[in-house]
Amino acid sequence: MTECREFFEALDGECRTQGAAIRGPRLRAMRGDREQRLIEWESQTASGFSPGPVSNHETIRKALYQGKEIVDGLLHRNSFLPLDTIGFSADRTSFTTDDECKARSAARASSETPLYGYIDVTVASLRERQCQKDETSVSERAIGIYDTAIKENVAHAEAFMIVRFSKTKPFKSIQADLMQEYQPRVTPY
Amino acid sequence: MLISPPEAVSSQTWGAPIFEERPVPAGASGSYPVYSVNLGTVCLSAGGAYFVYGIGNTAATMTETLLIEGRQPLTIAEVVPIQSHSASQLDRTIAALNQYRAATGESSLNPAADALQFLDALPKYLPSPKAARSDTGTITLFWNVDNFYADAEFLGDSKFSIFTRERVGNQTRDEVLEEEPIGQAGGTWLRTYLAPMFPRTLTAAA
Repeated sequence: MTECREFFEALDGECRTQGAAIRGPRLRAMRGDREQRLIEWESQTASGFSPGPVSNHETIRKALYQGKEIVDGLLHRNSFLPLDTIGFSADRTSFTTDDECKARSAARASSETPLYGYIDVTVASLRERQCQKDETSVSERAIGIYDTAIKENVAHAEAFMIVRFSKTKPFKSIQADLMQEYQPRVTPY
Repeated sequence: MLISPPEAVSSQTWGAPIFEERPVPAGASGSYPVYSVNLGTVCLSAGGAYFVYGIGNTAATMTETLLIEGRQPLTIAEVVPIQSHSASQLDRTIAALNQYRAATGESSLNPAADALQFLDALPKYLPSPKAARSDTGTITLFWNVDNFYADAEFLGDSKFSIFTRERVGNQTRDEVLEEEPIGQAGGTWLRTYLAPMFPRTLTAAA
């Protein structure tokens, strides 16, 4: 079993026994411990249910919920906050259908956060984001994407920050870049 | 037609609600309890009509939660034509924050309570922000006005952080203010960070 799969399967187990709140702190700690290896992990498979690692030419579909990722049709910077916290969950469009995506997303909606629509995010556009801690630092890859398939959804993928300094201005600027770039691509259901 | 809200769903917390009576759609029959009073919830009644709870939503994103006996609730945002009756952006933001605050309960970390305090301290001549809450409970108030974007972020530690982006052509300029005490919400940072949203008369006077 690869190191990547070992990590994500252990994380799933912890979430089941200790609750989903453990996810954010575990991902953050993992970033600190294994920063250098997280790019290698992208070419490993993260789950026994996965059809294979996520390639650059793929597109992932992110559901948008009113009051959470989108308000009155507008994205905001923290629409992309899960990149830094619990992981940015999405569906790989090559391994699912529009109807399946919509049904899965609708099942997670609530009266407080109804399903609004989605954005299709190109994997390459996330992987090409660079982060520079300060003006004297070298630019680094900022976001990794992993094939975190689950039994109920083999198309599941997850993106998150792979740099440690994620709460700083460079990360916030990346969030704002994504907001600006994907606002015109918001597709309401 | 606007009607008085049913007694069971009136609530001081959410401000002055607006209800609109609409016919029950085909397939939704029987007797329905009030489901919940949240932003945009549709409350099905027993009397052949249902009520759209209007505060906290714009027409473009009103939610209809249709509870049909024996089926799972279906919640999809859709357009409803009540824009003329809808509350102001400030009312909607306050309603959303009140809802988030109530959902957090008596926890010592209540980002929505901080956001409400922040909102109250903002000069009234600024445009009203929109409110969002993340899965991890972070509250964001944000503005998107012409070529200027700004947001205030609240984690519930009695502090706020500001991010702004000004767009000029293809160029962007980002500014960040980190972890200001909530007591400073009406302070001098406003003129530095939110100046593009100030009325021109005030900007000129400065």
